[in-house]
Amino acid sequence: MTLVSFAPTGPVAAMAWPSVQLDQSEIAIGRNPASGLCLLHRQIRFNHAVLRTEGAGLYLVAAEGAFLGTAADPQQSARLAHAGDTTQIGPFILTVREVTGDGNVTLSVTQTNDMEPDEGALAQIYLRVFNVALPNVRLWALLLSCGLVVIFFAWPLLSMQAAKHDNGDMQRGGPSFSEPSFFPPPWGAASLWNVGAISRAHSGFAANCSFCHQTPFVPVRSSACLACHRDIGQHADPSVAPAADLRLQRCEHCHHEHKGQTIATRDSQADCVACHGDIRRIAPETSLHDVLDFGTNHPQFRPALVLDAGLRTTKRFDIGDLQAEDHSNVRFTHAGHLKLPKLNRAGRQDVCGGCHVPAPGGVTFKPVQFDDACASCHSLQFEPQHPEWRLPHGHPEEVASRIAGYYARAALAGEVFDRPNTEPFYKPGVPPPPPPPTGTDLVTYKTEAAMMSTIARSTCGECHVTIPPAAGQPNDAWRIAPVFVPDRYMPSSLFRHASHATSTCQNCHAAATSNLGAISLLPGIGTCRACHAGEAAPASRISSSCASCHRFHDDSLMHLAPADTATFTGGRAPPSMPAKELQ
Amino acid sequence: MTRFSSAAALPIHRSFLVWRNGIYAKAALLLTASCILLYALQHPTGPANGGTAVGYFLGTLAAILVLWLAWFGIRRRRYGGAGQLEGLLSAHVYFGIALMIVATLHAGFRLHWNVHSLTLVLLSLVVASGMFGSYAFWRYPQLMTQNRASATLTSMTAELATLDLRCRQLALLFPDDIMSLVHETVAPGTAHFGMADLVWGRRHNQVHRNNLAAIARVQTQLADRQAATPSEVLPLVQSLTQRLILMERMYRDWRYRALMLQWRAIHVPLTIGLIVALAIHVIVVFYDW
Repeated sequence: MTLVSFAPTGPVAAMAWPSVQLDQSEIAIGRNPASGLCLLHRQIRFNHAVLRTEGAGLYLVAAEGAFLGTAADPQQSARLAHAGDTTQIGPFILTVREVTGDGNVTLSVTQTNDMEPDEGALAQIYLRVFNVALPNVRLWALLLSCGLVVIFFAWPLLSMQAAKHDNGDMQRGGPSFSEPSFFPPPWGAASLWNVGAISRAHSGFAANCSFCHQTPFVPVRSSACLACHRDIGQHADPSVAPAADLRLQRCEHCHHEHKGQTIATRDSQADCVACHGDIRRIAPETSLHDVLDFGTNHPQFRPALVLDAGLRTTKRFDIGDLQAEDHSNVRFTHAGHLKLPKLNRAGRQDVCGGCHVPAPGGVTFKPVQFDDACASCHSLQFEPQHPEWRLPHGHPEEVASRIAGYYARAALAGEVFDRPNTEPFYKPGVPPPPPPPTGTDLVTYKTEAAMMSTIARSTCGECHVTIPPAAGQPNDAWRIAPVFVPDRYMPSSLFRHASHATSTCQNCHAAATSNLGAISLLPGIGTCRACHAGEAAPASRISSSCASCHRFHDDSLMHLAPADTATFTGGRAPPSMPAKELQ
Repeated sequence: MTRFSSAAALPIHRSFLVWRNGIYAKAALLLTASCILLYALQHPTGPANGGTAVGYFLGTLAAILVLWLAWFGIRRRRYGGAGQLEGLLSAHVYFGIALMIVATLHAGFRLHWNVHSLTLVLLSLVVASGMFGSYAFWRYPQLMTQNRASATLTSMTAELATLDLRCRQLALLFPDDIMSLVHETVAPGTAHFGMADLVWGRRHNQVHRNNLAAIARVQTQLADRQAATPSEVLPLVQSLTQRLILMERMYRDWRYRALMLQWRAIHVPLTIGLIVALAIHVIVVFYDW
C-alpha cells in the first residue's frame, strides 16, 4: 500500500489535490477531472500520464503520444524513487519531497511561469486588434504625386524632345513624315499629352508635336500650317474687303485639329451671314449681293457668261436676263438639236449622254469634242462630186492648203468641175459661159469658191463665228473666231453633277426649249430650292448652309504664302498680287 | 442671453447636409444648372471640348473649385477663421458634387488615354470617395450607437478578454481535440480583419465563420462522444456563443469606425494627386497651345 500525497507550491499553491492510494492500479494524471492528479493546463493532455509502482520504485509513464520533460528533451518515463527525484509534465514540475519508511510518497507540484495571459493584457491585445488607424496618407500622396509627374510630365516631355531632335528635316523647313526613333509609337509618351485624335490628313507627323507646336506656350502659328498649305487663298480681295484679310486671322480661328478623323472647321451659316448679311458694310465697292439664308434670302444665280472668248473673260448675268449675251463663238442651240428626230427618238433617255460624258471626279462633264459628238452628222464635206473629201476640224490654218491639194490632185487626174450653172438655157445675145477651168485655174477657182462657201457660210459657219479677211489685206483669209466654252458657269459654287445623278438632266436643264445658249439652259435658284432649303430645313428638304455650296478660300486670289505670313501681323498685300475681278 | 436662448432653440443634432436649410445645396444646384445651360447653348466648331470659350470658362471654374475644396482639408484643422466649419463642410460636399458635373462639361464628355482624362478620372475618384464619406458620416454614427448599446470599446474588449479566458478554462475539462479546437479559436491572433472584411461585411468574414464552425464542432463532437454531461457542456457552449455575439458586435463596430475613417485614405492622397495632375494638365495645355 502506497499513499501518494501532492503538495502544491508556487503558483498552484492554492490547489488542493487529495492523496491517492496507489494499489495494483495506477494513478492517472491529466486534465480529465476523474484523474488522480487533475492538472488543468492547455499543455497537459486529457490523459497525459500514469503513476505506477514497478519493483521498488514509483514511475511516471507518459501515455501514448504524450511526453514528459521539456520539448527539447522529451522522455517517455521517469523514476520517482528517492527524495529529490524530479520530472516535468507540461509546465508542472513533480519532485519527490520525501519517501517514508512505509513507502508513502509526497510529491511536490509546482508550475513554471507558463501561465494563461491575464485579462488586462488580453484586453489590451484586443484593443489593438480592433483599433482603426489611417494609413500614412502623406506617403501615399507623395508617391502618387511623384508617379504622376514622372509618367505624365517628364516622360512625355523627354519623349517629345527626342522626337524633335530626330526630325531634322523639319528644322530645314521641309515636312518630314519620318517617325521618331527614340520612343517609337505606340511607346512614345507624347500621346499622353494629346488632347484628342489627330486627323487622318495630319496623322503622318502626329508623333512629332513640335511639327505644329513649334514654340512652347505660344499658340500654333499659321506659318506652321502654311508651310505645307502654300496654295491656300484669301477669302476676298483685301483691297475690296480689308476686314476679310485672312492675314489678320490665325488658321486656328476656324480650323481645329485634335478633334477626330477630320479637321473640325468653323462653317456655320451665322459666321458667313455676319458679313454677307450686309456685305457693303465691310466692302462698300463690292458687286456681291447680300445673303441671309439659301432657302429664304439668297440672290438669283448669276452665271458667268463669256464676254470675250479670245481673252477668256466672263461677265455675270442674272438667270432669266434676256439681255444676257454669251460670246462663246459657238452657234449651237439645244432646242434646235433636240427637235431632230434622229436625236429625239421616243423613249430615248440617254439623249444627253450622246454628247455629254461625265469628267473624272464627277463635278463637271468632259468638253464636247467634235469628233465624238458632232462628226457623225456634221461630215465637213465640201465637194458634191467627192463626198469622201473632208475638212480637218480644229486646224483652220490647214483648210486652204487641204482644199487646194484635193483640187490639184483632181486637176492632174483630168477631172472636170462645171461652173455653177445659174442659167439652164442659153439665151440669145448672152455670151456663152466660159468652158470649165482646167489646170492651175481649176485649183485657184475651186479653192476660192470652196473657202467662201464652207468657212464663211455652210460647213464651218454653220457652227462657228467666222471672221472675213480684213479689207485691203490681200494675204488675209477667212478665220474661225476663237471658241471658249467654260466647263463651269457658276465657278463660285461647289455643285457636283455626280452627287445629283439620281435626278435626270431635264429636271434642272430645260434643254428642249433652250435656244439662247447657256443662259437659257442653266437652272435658277428655284430649281435648287425644290430640294434644298436653308440651314434650318424642314424634315422634307435638305439642310443647306453656305458651306454646302461655297468654298471659303478662293485659291485664285493671293496665296497666303509663308513669306507673307512669317510675321503675320496683317498689313497690306504685296504689290505683285493679281487683281481679281469680283463681278 | 440672446446667445444662450438661440443656442437652446437649436436642435441637439442636425446634419451638415441640411445646414441652414441646405443653402449650399441650392447654391451648388444653381451653379450646376447655369453651367449645363451654358454648355447646351454654345455652338462650338467640332465636338464640345475644353478648348472653346465655354470650355476655358468651365475649366477655370473647375480648377478654382478644386483648390477651394482642397483648402477645406487645411481649414478643418484650424480653430476659428472665416465661416463655421459645419457650413464649410456642407459647402464642401455640395460644391464637390457640382464640381464633378462642371469638370465633365469642361471635358465635353470625352475620355482619352491622356493626362487630361486622367485628371478627370482622379477627380471622379476623389468626388466618389467624398460622396461615400458623406454617406458614412450621415449613416454610420447612428448604426454605431445602436450596435454598441451604451458599451464602449474598452468595456467590450475587457468583456471579450474575460470570455476568452472563461472559454479556455472551461475547455480544459474536455478531451484533447475539443480543447485544442477551442484554444485555437479563442485567441486574439484569430481576430484580424482585412480589406475584404471592410468592403464585403460580415457575411464574408473569416473570423465569424471560424467561430461558428468551432461552436458547431464542439457541439457535434460532444454529442457523438456522449462522454461529457450536459452540465459540463452547456457552460462552454454558452460562453462560446456569448463570445461569438460579442465578437460580431465588435466587428461591426470596427467596420463602422474603419469605413468612417478609411475613405479618407483614398480621398486625401487622390486629392493631392488630383492637384498635381491638374497642374500638369494646365501646363501641358498651354505648353502645346
